[in-house]
Amino acid sequence: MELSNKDKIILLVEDNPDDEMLTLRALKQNYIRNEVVVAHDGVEALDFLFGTGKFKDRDLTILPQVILLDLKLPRMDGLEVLKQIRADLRTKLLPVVILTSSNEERDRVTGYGLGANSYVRKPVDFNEFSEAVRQLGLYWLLLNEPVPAAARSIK
Amino acid sequence: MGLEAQARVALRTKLIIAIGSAPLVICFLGILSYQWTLREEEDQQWVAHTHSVLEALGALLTDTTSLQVVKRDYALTGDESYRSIYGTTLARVQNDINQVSDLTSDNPRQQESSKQFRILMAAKLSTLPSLKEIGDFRTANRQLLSAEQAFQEIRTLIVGMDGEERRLLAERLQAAAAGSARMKTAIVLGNILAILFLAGGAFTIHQEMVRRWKAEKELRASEERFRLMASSVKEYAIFMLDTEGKVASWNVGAERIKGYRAEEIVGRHFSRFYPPEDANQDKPENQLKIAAENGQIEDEGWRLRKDGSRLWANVVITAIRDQSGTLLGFCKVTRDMTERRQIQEAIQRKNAQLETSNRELDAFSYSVAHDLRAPLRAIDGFSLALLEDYQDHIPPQGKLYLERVRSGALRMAQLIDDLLKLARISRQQVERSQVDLTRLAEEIAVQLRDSSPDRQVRFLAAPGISVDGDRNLLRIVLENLLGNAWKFTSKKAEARVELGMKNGDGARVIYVRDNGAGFDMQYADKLFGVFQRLHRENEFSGTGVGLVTVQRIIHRHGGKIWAEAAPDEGATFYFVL
Repeated sequence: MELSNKDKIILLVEDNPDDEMLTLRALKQNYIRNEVVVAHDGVEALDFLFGTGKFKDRDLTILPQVILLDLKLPRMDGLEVLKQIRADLRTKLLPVVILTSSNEERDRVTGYGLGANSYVRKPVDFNEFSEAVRQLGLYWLLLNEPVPAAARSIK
Repeated sequence: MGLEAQARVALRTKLIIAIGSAPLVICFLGILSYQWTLREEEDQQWVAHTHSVLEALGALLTDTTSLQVVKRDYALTGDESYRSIYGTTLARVQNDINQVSDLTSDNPRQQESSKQFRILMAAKLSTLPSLKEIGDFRTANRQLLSAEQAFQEIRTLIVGMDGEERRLLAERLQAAAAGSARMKTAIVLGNILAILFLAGGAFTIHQEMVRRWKAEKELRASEERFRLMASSVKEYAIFMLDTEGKVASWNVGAERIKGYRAEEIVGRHFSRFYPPEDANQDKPENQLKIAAENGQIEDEGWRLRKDGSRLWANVVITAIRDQSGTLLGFCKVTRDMTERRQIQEAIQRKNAQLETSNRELDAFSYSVAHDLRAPLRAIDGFSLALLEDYQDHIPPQGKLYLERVRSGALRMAQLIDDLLKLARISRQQVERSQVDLTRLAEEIAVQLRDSSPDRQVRFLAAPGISVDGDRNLLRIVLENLLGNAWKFTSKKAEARVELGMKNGDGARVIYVRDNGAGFDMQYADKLFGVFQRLHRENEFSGTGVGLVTVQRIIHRHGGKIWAEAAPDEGATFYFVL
């Protein structure tokens, strides 16, 4: 059974409220109506994924279709979050798109090294930003074949 | 054998010959003199002896004459009293001849004469005839005559003996005189010779003394010079140790470096300069041993000053030997390296600081990338949101303002990006390899064409321009230069961009030339300033960082870059690596 758009959740890990707002706006402008869960820092993101903290009673069978991960986060760094995501069997195969201002080589290297699927630089120009979001949405939510549900569920 | 030893042997030989000969000569003379004295004595004895003989002969003659007289008298008178006189006289004569014979026992001739005498005596004179007895006057006369003859013969004999004796004496005296003369000559000559030898010896000694004295003077002068030099050297401690390691000399530098005054330290063992951990392990003695074996030893380590403080010293100990190879002592040169070491340590610390600085800069630019751009994104994004969502409510002027807000934010983002790029390049290591600039230029040309496909630009690249440099950095150089050329020819109908190389001042000069807008050479010194632009933003876009980046990269390669241009006639940028 093909999952409807509603079931394809986007996890946005972003601490900056401006960027959060702009990202959501961009998604909306591009008619990407998937549910977007916003985690404001790394801890919250992991809480969501693993059903801890304030997401304690979440249905963990529902996992995001794609995780948009900013690197510069308070407390737990974005790369650390990525590491943890990849460390756990439940989330190991989830697509993670690093979406960040930094174009530092070492971030890219480390990011890919830790298992990021994609690395996208956030442009300052909003039009470009919007275009980038559109392409991301198109790709990860429509074109890309997700991990089979069976492999996603908790073993 | 060294020159010195040879000279010593020669000197010794000379002296031995000179001074040894004199005593020998004198000894010899002494022997001669002694012999002479003996001979004199002998001669005296002979003279005495001869006199004795002559005396005896004289007595013999007298007695013989007496005998003759008595015999004649008796012969003539026949007086019986003469007979006894004759007897005694005869006895006396015999005594005398015996005496003579004894005295001349070594002379064969005299012995012969004596024998003759005896014979004669016995033959002719042992009897005493008287005329009376004979009776015959003629016989008696005959006897008398023969007796007289005999007496004559005897007398001749005696005279002969006397003569012989005198002759012998004369002979001997002559010989003696000759011998004496010889001896005298020999003695005089010998003395002269001895004096000469002594003089020679004295002269040699004098010469030697003069030579020694001169050498000593020179040695003292050179020692003095050395002492002056060593003592006036303040930066180095230069001093001598004896063969056991006790301090033998001191200089100003040593006093400065180690803190001891000369009178305090001379005679003490140099191990007191070493810290206890070294002294306990016999390090000082070992160093002397190694220096003695190998001639020299160099060492760096801690040493102690008089007040107990430590200094880091560079020490050279040299073994000093004389010409025969005997160890005389050691020369120690110590340099206070504490300062140098401190400087080195300071340099190391500075380097570490620089490393930290660089790392901090790295982290800084990293933060800049994130932290500065996010608000810019907000500015742009929300301005656009405003424009889009409330476009009906915003008058045209308002929209214009918002557009300017947006472009301001975008420009700042661009500036930040360029600055970050510049910072990154300044820190980057230059990795050299052979880079084909022609190919790079062609790749960039393709990129440029793709970015603005509707532009017609003639692009010329001289083939085979190959240089030694960092590929990535040179790519950035060409991207900037060609990009600029591309940009500034945008208003020209027939735009031309070329990359070439020429020889100038013995070096290969590479250039990028365009026939675009050019610039006024008056402002050429601003070309390479950060954010400096020679055109307005609305004429040609740009942040003014591109050329700075290019210049930085060229400088990292150790090269030079400069430009020539004229307004509206294009610009040429030259560089050497």
